[in-house]
Amino acid sequence: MIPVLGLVVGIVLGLLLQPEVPLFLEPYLAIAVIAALDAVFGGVRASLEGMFNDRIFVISIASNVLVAAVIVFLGNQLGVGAQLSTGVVVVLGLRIFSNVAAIRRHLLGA
Amino acid sequence: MANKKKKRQAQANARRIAIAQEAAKKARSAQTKQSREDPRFAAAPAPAPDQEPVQPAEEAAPTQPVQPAEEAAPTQPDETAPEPSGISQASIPADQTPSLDDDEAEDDEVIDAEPAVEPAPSSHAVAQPAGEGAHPKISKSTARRRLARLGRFKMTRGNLAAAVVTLAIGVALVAQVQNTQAGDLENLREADLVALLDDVSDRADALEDEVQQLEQDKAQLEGSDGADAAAEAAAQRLESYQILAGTVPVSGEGVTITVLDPDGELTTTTMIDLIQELRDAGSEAIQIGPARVVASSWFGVADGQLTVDGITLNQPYTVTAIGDSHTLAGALAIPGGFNDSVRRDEGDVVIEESDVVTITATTQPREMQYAEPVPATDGR
Repeated sequence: MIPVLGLVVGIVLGLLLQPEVPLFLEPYLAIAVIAALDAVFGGVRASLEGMFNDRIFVISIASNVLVAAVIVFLGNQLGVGAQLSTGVVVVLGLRIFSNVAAIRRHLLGA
Repeated sequence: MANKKKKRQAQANARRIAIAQEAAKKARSAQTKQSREDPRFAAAPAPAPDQEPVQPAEEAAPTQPVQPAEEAAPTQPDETAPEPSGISQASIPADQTPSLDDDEAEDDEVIDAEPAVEPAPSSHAVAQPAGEGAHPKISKSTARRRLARLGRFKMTRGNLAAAVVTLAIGVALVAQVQNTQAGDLENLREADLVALLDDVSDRADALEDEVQQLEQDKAQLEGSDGADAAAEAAAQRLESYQILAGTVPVSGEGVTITVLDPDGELTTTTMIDLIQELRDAGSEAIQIGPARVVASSWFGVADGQLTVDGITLNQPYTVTAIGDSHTLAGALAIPGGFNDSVRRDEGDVVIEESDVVTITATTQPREMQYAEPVPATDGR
């Protein structure tokens, strides 16, 4: 419940404060958001499986975001930023799908 | 004994094997975990000879008995008893079926029992949030109970950590969405910008080409305009040449001069003076009597009568000139001029100025016999 409240508060804060995204962060923010979303769904799934561990959750979310940003940064430096960004998005999207599918299986048995 | 078993086994259909394999697979984890603790589980497996074939059925490849299991049927048809179906010798013994059923039942029980055992695996089985590794089997009720527990408002460390993360996600999400919707060039990657620039410059080049094409067309059209103007000028020139050559009747402002010469004293010189004065005053067309006066006109005398271009003039001489009437009249009236000359010869001149006089006489230009135009030289 608290995490959901956190999400709502975050959205409201974002709408109220209208944060300006620094220019150098722009390529990474979208990837970071997707990576974090992936970690969140993973956390929900782990909770359903009784394996949730806050330490692992926080570390995994940080490392996901970091690795995604590093990959995109590297891609930008190598001149294949667009392709690597796409790759990262595809991989994270796949993971989100598989996590959601696992959650669905647990909850609905289908 | 073994052969009998095989035979019976052979008659058992493939379904049983399938069931056995699946059940065995399901049971595997539970089996390894709990076979020691659970007395029922330990009791369930048949004695050693029966237990033995279960392993190959489950783990397919590496163990020794499996090899013949797969290849027995085709390679050793003689050794085996007549087999209706190609089921191998090493297949599952008949009396394993009940034990497998037991396993299946056990499986369910194990799963139901799992929540009780849950703390143990959760503490050390550090499965990642992402979908790596094995999928633990959880019943729906358990999952829903856990979901409900997630929904409770409880200040645990995990909840707080997740809340912080989701808060950050919310802010970042909104920022990114708004940033994207702002949708300016700022958001574009360098490569995209370069592509955009290429696109724009290509388009600019195309447009520039188009401008040049249009300008060319415009010049052509203007050229044709010039041709029109030239045609118009040519037409005007033609008109003035026609008037000068006296090939067309003309009308306009001018004067009509009536010259009376009762004594027949007027000479060709006087007539030449008349023409000279009129031309000096800017007359554009002159008719004397029935004759049109042009560049080649000449005066003569025939039978005591004046002629123009060989045409005899009858008294009174009527001269029509087109031009500025005042100027023409004035030119004739100057002292010592034409009027005075005529009057000195005891004749009379009547000049009538009018807005419209008409010269009807025309003359056809002669065919030039000797004169030929000289091609224009560069000096001119």
